[in-house]
Amino acid sequence: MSAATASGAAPRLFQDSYLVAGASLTAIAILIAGTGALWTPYAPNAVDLLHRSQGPSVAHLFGTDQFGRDVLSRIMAGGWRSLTLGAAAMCLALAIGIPVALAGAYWRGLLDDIMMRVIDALLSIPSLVFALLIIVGLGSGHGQAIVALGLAAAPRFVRVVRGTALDAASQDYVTAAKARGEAALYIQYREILPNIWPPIIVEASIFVGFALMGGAALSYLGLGTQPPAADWGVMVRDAQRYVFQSWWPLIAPSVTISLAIIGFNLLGEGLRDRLHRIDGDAAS
Amino acid sequence: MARKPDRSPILTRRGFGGLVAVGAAGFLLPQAIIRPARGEARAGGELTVTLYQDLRTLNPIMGIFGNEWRTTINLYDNLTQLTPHGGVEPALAESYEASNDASVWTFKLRRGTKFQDGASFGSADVVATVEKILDPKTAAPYKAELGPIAAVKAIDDLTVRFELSSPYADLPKALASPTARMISQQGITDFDKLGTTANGTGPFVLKEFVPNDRVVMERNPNYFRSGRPYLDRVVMRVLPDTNTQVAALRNREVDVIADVEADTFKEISEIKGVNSMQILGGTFNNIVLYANKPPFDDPKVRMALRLAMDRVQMTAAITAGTGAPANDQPIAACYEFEDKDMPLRKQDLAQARRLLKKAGHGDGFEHKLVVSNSPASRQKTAVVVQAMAQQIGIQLNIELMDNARYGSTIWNKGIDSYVGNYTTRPTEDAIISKLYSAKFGIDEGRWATPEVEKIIAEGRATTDQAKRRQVYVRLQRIAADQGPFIIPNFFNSLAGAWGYVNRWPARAMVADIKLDQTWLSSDAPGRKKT
Amino acid sequence: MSLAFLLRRLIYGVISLFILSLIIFCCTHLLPGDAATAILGEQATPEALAALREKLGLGQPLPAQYAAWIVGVGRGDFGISTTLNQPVGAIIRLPFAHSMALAPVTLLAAAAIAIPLGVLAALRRGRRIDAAILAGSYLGVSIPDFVVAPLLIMVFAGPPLQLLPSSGFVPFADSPSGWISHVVLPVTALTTILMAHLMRQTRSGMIEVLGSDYVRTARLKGLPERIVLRRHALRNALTTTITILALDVGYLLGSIVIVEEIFAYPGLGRLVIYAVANRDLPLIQGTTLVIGAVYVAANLIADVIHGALNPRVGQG
Repeated sequence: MSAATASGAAPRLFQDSYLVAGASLTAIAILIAGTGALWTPYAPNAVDLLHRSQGPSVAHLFGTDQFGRDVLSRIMAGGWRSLTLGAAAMCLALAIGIPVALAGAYWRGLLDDIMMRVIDALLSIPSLVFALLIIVGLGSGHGQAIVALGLAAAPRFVRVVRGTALDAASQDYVTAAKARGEAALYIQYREILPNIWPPIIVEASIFVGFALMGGAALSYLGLGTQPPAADWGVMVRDAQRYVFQSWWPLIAPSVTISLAIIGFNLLGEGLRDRLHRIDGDAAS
Repeated sequence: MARKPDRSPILTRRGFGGLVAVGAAGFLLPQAIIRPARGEARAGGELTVTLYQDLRTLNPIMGIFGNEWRTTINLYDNLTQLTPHGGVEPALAESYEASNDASVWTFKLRRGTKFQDGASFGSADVVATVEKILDPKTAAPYKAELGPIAAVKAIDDLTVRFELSSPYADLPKALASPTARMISQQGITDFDKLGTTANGTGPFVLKEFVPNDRVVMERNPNYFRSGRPYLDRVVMRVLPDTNTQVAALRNREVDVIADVEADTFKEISEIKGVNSMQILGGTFNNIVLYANKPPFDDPKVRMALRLAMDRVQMTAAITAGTGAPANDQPIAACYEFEDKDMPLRKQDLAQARRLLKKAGHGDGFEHKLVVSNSPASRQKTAVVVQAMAQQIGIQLNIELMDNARYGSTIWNKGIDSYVGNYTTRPTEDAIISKLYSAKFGIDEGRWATPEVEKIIAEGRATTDQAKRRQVYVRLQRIAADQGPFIIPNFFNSLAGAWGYVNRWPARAMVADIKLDQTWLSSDAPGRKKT
Repeated sequence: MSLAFLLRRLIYGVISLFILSLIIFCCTHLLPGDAATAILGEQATPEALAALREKLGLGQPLPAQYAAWIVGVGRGDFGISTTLNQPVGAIIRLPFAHSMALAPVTLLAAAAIAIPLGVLAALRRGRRIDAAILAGSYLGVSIPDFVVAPLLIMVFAGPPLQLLPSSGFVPFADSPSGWISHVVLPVTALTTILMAHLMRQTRSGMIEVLGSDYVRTARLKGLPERIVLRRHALRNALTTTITILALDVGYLLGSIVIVEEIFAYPGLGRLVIYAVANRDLPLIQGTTLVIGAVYVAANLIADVIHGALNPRVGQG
């Protein structure tokens, strides 16, 4: 029986293409952003009043914005800012989500019940609204946006991780470890966690995509990274006001954000498919 | 009916596209032609106006946003009102006169004026309104700009006497200000209801109000200026995005954009059939440098920063050609006592650097500058000032923050430098007292010297116009040379209206739009709605 | 479906709301700093600020403030907005209705397009049509709403087309055609995003059902594919779809916030942004609680339908 009909899976090459495409886009985004952290053609905030709102030229590959700032430099620097925001938010979400999920899955009982009630409650507001609430509490800004997005994403992580951790917790090796008398934390972090990494990685990479979008949305609304700092969401918002003078400052960050998010999503999905296939092959 | 050409600096353009008179520095130059109204005023029709941002309350005393003033000016009247050229004329008051030392003013009220619910307007209402404004428990935001009123008394039903705690020549103009509208006694009793209801003497009656969204007003048939208003209905809609506003204007969804953004003005000028109006204005953003602590306590350092500014270029960048360069003091050309002879300070980087060196800052320094994110012009000003300051080694580190937090933690706290924002006032004294006097205002730059306080007090007290001019000219010079602010430009008051809207009241005080004389030509879409 | 099941779900919902209210309250009271200056702005005099502070009752201890708020909510009193000086309930009413006008239209439109496409993709898995549908859904999910919406405005409301108004709202009572013209673009923007989510979820849900024992058995029994699909697969898929739709109300509410802001559509989402931008705490609390309540209600309805369709679940 061919793999195609048994599990309904697509031909191998087809699925790998997601991973490849996703990985490539992500790699490009990271490359641009990484370069942007160290070097940009112009200083991202360098104002040049004599060359405002110009289209692409040899001197300015993506043109200039309403202050004469080089759009390409701002995209690169903004990339660094946006990507570090996404990564930092993801790390925060993991740092909160994993311990909470592991604790709940391991100990169960009242702790777990209460925790799930709280998680359910948190999941009943859209994550953007939750992030807005946290911004109200902390104020607007780049750091605050990281905290807001990380906290807003933590409940989802907890749910996903807890699900797989529950499965793992009922496995033989965990029972064996308990019988051996291992400490609870040891079991959670040295037995269970190493075996549930794959879904975590998948969720994490998909989440970076959404964190990028959320971070840009917050900046767009004026509640995240503040201008004049270069940030993709800030650039989209500023550019909209001046779109009739020049639409390059709008197109450049819009396309860049979209491609970066698509890249991370594809990467995550590709990883997920790959891992499913690995599991599927192992099972059969 | 021929219209006398106004002496005021009103600039209008027919939107036939193309020809925009542009001066050497790229500014849209004033044009001598005042577009005459198309024929006789005709009653009827619905006018739709679009506003930008906040419209939270209808309360005439507590409202602080321009759009709120644009609404209340049509629902209520003041005792006096400003003329297009910055003078003042009677409104609900018929006449007024001062005692010799300008410390007692007597106002005679117009006979037979009625509130929209039918009650008569009289001195009791004036007293109730003014006392409410002055009451500390009301926490009226603009109380101080009304003047030093100690007591207000009703002498008879149509006579009111203002007793001032110090001489104040500008009381009539101050009473024309947007937060001094006359409310009925009943309205003062039911003060909390004034946020969403209105019973004024004004040309329009409130029909509908949705906060931050729209106001609908209908003609008051018993308005005290008989024959007016001409319009049947006025709808004001909040559209919080400039592109949206322009699109709505093009589609004729709205007839007027009441407060056009600087960057959009050129686009609006090019729409065929639309009049784009530009009036020299007095709105500005000021960089607040504290004169009571380093590094700006040293006048040499302040002057160095002043000399680093290329004001013409900055104005072009910040206002997209719709402003006028300024000299770091708040009196613009729209004010009566502007110092017309003061030369514009030119950039002189060499001198600036020399001064810095003498002050001991030869290597420059860093300084934090907090910028609120609203209105957006603050950021522009900050970025441009930052670029200029960099040329002499002063690194201004911009920290943007949302308006609410800025208001509660930074504004007027004397801690960090920030970019302030002030709109045109009815009188010179209102803005000067506020900014420079610790006694009458907030002394925002912590700079008030006894000499300055003395001059300000003199300006308030003198009724002799020539003498007042001398006083204010002197003040402008001192402020420009030694004051604690960087003010690179003034913003002109901008509006855009379709040609079928006649006599749109474009003013330097951009919220001063009383629509009682506005009328629609027969080709207006609003005529078909009613 | 048993009463016990219903009650249990209801209680869960109420508990969720309680916890939510606590979280909302904590978030809005974290930052020190003064509602009074936030309201009066740069025109404030010290006495004005003191008077306002007293008026707002900002001096009381936090638990007391929370208790006062939550008790009020139970009575239907959501407090007074500090920026608009009116009862929050009155402020929310109309915008809530306006958002609720957008939501079902969007859900229906998205479902009508996305569910058939998702099913199709699942049935033709691995083929080109599947790839195309998947690619489309990736784009829809990945392109932010603040990129899609302005694009729609530029194309349809800007020159040269100028087909539709770029923003705002006309009450249906005033003009049905006006109402529709103002609603088309926001709904389109929302639908595009939602559709993408829904397509992918329907597809995975359908794939799972197709691979399930139930369907496999039916196939092995030799039943024709059409009957397998119609009788067995679709019914199960329906329950999955309902759960998905409930989840998507969450996505929808999130998108609504940004889309309404961009189109200046006077709905609940735009009100939230206004409240947050102006730190109007009572209004923030009220609007976010209402949004949470809508989501909880949607989930409750989904659970109930799920329970009705699937007797095993409905035992409670």
